[in-house]
Order: sequence, then C-alpha cells, then structure tokens
Amino acid sequence: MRHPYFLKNDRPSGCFYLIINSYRMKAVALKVLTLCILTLVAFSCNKEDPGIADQLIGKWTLTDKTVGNDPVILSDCEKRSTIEFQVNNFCLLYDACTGDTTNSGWNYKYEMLNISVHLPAAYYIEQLDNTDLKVRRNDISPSGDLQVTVLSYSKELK
Amino acid sequence: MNKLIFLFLMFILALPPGCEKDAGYPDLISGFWAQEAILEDGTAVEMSTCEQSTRLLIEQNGVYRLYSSCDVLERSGTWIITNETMLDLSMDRWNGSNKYEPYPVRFTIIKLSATELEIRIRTFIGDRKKIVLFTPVAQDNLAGMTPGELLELDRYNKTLRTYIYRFVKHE
Repeated sequence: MRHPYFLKNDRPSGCFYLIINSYRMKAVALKVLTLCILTLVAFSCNKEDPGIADQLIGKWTLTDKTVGNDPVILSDCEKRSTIEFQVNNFCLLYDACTGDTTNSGWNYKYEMLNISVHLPAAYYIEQLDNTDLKVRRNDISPSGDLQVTVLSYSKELK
Repeated sequence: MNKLIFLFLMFILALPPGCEKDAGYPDLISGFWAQEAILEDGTAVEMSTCEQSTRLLIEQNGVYRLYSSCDVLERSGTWIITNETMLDLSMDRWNGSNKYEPYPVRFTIIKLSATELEIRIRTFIGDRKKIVLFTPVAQDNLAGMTPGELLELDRYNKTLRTYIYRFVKHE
C-alpha cells in the first residue's frame, strides 16, 4: 500500500489530511528546534581561554624581575623558586629561599591570571609560549603610586 | 517551510553580537584612579591631605584595592557593575567595637569614561563615619559625653547626606 505522503494525487481529504499534515509540521518544527539548540551550544559564550590555560600547565622557574622599569637583581635562591600550574586549577608555589611550598588555586579568566594566595593582585600575561612566561601585576606603592612588577619565568622541560 | 528556514537564519544572524564580551564598563572602570573631589549635598568639600592621596586600583577580575596615605593598611574588596548604572563595592565598615568588616555599598554611577569616574551615594552621616568611603575617618569618641550630647550626636549621625566622589584615571 502506498503511503499517502508520496502521492500528491492520492492525498487524503478532510480531517485525515489535516492530521497527517500536522504531524509533518511537528517533525519540521522538531528539526528546526534541534538545529537551534545545536547552534546555541556552538555559539555559547565561554569566557575562559582553554588554549592559554593549557599552555600554563607545568613548572616554571623565576628568571627575571623588574619593578617599575628597574631590574631587580635576584638572589641565587630566588632564581630557583618555582610555580607549578596543575590541570585541576591547583598550583604549587615553591620559595627556594625559605624552602616553603604554598598550595594555591589558580585560573585564567577575562585575560587575567588569578593565583588565589596572591589576591587581590592578579597577573596579566605579557608573553607565553612553550618555554617562556612573562607576567605583569599592578600594585600600589607605599607612596601611593602605581607600581608595575614584571616577572619572567622559563619552563622546566621534563 | 521556507518561512521556518528564514526564521532560523535570522536566529543565527542574531546570535554572535549577543555573545561578545560585555561591552564597555569593565574596561572603562579598570585602572588606577586618583580621588579628585568630594561633594557633600552638592557642595565641594575641601579635601584633606589624606583624601587627596586616596587611590583606587580596579582590576578586571572584580577586585579593587584602596590606598590612602593616612590609612594603616591597603584595603581591598570586590566590585561589580549592575544595570550599567550601579557600582557595588564591598567596603570596610567599622563594627563599632574592634575591627573593620566587609560591607556591601551601592553607588550610582553618574559618569564613567576613559578618564573620569563620578559616583554618588546617599547615606547617613553615621554610616559615612563607619564605612571607609575611600578614606577612613575618626570614629566618635563617646567618653565623657552627657546624655544630652549623646542624643544630639545620635540625631546628627542619623542625618542623610548625598556624597559624590570624583576620580580621575592615572596611567
């Protein structure tokens, strides 16, 4: 028996035609709705940048520091201090001068690197690649001026 | 069917602008601000040296830091702009006893540009004394006051005032 849909000339009339047509409309509406939902998901706003966050993962050793535009001479132990970003938004800050390791949280959002133990200060990433990281943070100096500190790190390669 | 396809295409075209980073205000308000003027009920107040030294460092991550030369410490709190007209800050408020505690304060944004910030709050004089509205002020010393003086002070502290704070951005 041929399906009524496929034969235009055999279209049933009256109520049966209306019922079949309403099913067709519902099927079309369902497809459109599915497409809309998929589009919403595709265009959904994501304020985090997984690319930069992934690149941060690893252990970084402090190599350079400037305050204002003045370089700061780092001691030998300061140059062995590290920060290790882990995938679970957990990081370890190792101070080689005291031997202490501090546990902290971290995230990268709105183009800012936030390390919870350093809050309210936050870091802006100036440079990030496979081997080098440079971050900038703003502070208020004791005299009330804006003080910019730039820290440079190199990545420990496993 | 064609109408549905047309509607769907219109829906797609409407999406990207709505997904852009929130326009304007977080970028404008972030920065290093110096307090320039204080108005009390519309009249400019002569700022003390401490008030002139007040600096506000607002970061895009929703945190700010506050400095005044006469303040014993650098204060910090959170900020958020709502409805593009209100600036909500968590500020330090004296608990009347022994310490400052976080307290939500809402300002009306009068002006916000790349270089100027002007915000307004209407509050009691007593609250102004307790909240570090950008500069701490001395708390009332009730020692030795007569009941009449205490009553007079209480009435004074319950007077409403409109305060306007004006900041300019320093690069």
